[in-house]
Amino acid sequence: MQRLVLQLAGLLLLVAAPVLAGTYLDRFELPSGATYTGSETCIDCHDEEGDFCAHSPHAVERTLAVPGSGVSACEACHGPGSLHVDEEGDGFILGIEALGALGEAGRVDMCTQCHTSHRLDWLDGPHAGVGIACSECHADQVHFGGSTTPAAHYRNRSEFCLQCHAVQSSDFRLPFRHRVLEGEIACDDCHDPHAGFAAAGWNGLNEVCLGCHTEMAGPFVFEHEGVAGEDCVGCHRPHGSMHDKLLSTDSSTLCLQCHFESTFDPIDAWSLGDAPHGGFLGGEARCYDCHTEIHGSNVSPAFRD
Amino acid sequence: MEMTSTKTKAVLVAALLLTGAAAMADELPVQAGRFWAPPGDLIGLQNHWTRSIDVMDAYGYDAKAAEDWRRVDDSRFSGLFSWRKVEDDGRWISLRGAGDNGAEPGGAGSLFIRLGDTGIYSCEVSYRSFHHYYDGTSEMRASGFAAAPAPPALDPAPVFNWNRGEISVRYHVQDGFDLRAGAKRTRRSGDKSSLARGMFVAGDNPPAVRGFETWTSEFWLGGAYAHGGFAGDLRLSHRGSDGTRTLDTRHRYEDKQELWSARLATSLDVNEKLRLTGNAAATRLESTPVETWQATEFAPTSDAATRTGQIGLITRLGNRSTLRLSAGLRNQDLDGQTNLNGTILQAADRERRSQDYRAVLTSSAGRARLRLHYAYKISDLDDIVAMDDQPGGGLAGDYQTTAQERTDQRAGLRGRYRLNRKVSLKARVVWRTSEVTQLDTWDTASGDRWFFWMGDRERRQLRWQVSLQTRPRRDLRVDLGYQAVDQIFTRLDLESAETSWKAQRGYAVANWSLHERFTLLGTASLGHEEFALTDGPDPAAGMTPLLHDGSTLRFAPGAVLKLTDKLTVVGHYEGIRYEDKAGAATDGDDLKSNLDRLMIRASWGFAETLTLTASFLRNEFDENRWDDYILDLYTLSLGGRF
Repeated sequence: MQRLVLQLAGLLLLVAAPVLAGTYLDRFELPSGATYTGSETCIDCHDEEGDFCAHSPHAVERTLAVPGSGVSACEACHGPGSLHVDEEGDGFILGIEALGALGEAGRVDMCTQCHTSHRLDWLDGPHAGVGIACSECHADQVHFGGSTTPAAHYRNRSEFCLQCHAVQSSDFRLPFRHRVLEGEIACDDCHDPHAGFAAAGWNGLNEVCLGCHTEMAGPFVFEHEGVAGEDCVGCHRPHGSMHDKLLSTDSSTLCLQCHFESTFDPIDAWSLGDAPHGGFLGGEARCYDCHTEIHGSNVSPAFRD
Repeated sequence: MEMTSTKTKAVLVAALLLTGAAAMADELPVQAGRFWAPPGDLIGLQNHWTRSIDVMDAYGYDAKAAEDWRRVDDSRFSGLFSWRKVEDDGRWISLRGAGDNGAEPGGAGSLFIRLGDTGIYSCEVSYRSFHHYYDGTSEMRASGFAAAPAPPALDPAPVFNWNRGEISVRYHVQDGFDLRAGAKRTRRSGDKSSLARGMFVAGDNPPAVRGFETWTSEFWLGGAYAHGGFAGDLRLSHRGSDGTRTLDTRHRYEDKQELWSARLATSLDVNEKLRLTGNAAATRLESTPVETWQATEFAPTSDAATRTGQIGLITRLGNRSTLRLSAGLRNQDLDGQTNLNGTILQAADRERRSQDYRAVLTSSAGRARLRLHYAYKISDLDDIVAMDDQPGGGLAGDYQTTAQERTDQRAGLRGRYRLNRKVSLKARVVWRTSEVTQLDTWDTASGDRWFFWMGDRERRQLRWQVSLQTRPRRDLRVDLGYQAVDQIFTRLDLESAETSWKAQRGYAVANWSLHERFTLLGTASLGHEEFALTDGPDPAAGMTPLLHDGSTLRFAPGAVLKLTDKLTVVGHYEGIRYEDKAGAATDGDDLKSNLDRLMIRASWGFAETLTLTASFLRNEFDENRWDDYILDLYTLSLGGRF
């Protein structure tokens, strides 16, 4: 039943799409009589050193248009320019004041009317709803082109992200860490800066980790609930840790946070998981000395080796 | 650990001499004070190259130093470069690379090639190859355990390599229609030291070695379509992994795993105030490895099919508020069995279902911005594992079933208020709860349950943080903050016994440009983290491993001094002090580990496009047990722009 509802909803979206479409410019009250002149007209006046928008997808010569509308380049964002042209710059145009007054959602809509794949990400993206729009990271590209991605300015492209994410920057300097500052892997190997995990596939958040650490993906006959029912970050701190294997804490402390069914066996005070453990935990033994298959096992129900 | 180095003094003198000589010159492209970056590394799209030689001087336990810093060579050459060209017609190409001739064959490094025709297509090809070392000791760091004697170590220390080649292409077919495709292949080979030391020989045995020789390949193809307010994005992918892994001689795995996945995302702008979204994904993961365990060969086969779907809406409420609502479903069916000598040893039939509902409200007004969110998720699990046959089969022997229901809730707010032009207040609070009820049944020959599941349980967690961002002067920025986590985990099946996790951290960040040529900067933080059994029956004697009482102090001052237009000196120090005193009978039993890093770097632009950089870097690890080392690194580099 649930599946059916979902399929119907998806079908409804597809069928209704051409009928119900709204656009970014619907946000504004456009004056009657304003028409699209074609953005070639704009650069007759706004030709700053002849390279305005050159090397940018927004260049007038590229004639890339808002899908379904035919409106391209300048007028896609600044609205129809005929009045502005007729009145020699005084007539209606969506200038810096109008666009600056847009909220985060409006500024994002402006870009995603063409960059449609990011429109889809916006519901659950990590930067959504915190006052950050596209231009915060892609500031240099709108008019003057530049690199295809802002991170391309860096040998280590993670540095671009770490300008804001200072806590993660500190984490990457801990003794045990993913080697991000060293340039081995980058933030976008794990994180999509535009999208969240809403539409993640078969294993949610863990899918990110299991893309490289495939041996822990299973599927296993015996699953550890701490892996299958929780997230990897329940036990690991993926950016950096004071403890080996990026564990959140060391020794048996980590396991015993959940597995502390001790003292209930009158014979052996260290009865964990129905089995006596009295000989181990009082000394320097750790759970994974024996339970080496802790992420899941096809052989041992106790994840033992 | 007391150590001195004449090389340290020598390089400091050399740096001072270099500083003095260059102080008479002028004009230099100033390198940012990026302390983690290799000498000569530049930010920007300009073409440049750097060649460096460094000399290492290490004392103490060099395997640990190698693990931390990926260094075993006494000397090493390294380099980096960037080159970019843009044609008048919009076509462009850029190359970036960095590498060194580290001890492992082929060295280490990365190469990125990006090219495209603006607005038409783009392509990125990359290759990365790195290796890691492992110290190979039996760590034994529980605070409740006496320090001596030194732990056994593996000799030689394990070395692990990973390589990845990747290509991705994006092609703009026409307005509203893009195609994407890509592939990547990753190889992991070599050895890692594990945490496992073996049954009954834990404390006085070197750790086991995990061996890898595996390949993972992934291909994907996707397309994005948009027309008016409608947009759709489809992605199809396949990932395959195979190869061999080992855990010493105890366990050998011949991996074979395949993952097929399809994902469709759609959105529709109904009007300027309402957007609808719909996402769906389906995957199938199959695994058919061969495992050799204790001289017995097992042949598991398993597959998991997962389907997820989500519908949502985003709507504007007035000019400054946005509401996001979504509902999602997820279903996973798993069938797995382990075969021994051609017959089923044990088999599982497992289904997980969940529903996920979320609401996010963001609003801004005047000086304030607020984000409220709430998520509610219910899930259930039906699991049955049987011996000798598939669950429900005619030959099935002992079996155990689990029926689990779980409810997760998450509520939070995130806000910012600008008190005035110079001061902003930010706050964030998240409250999470998780409640699990579980019923196990079993039918076994012994009458005891076959394996262990936890019973009913709850987790409640509160995370919050507050920070003050100040700009008291144009040239001074000071941020202060405090973070805290408070969690209680309750085992309802054990007379409400509880563990607690409490953590707090205060921090300060400052950046002060005292002069146009001189900037001071630094961070300091003090954190404390504690795990404890807080309720229920008294713990048994010797239960110290449950406890954790750790404090971490971190302070990192730095300075950037631009002596002349051509000469810049950067200094940075970072100290981390960690102590775990839980269960320690005396001060000497505390676990203490200190990290100290010192970096001094002088850059001299002795010609219009050439820069000479001398750098001294000290990494010191000092703990009150076994793994102490000092690693000094002296680097001289020459970089140029072209």
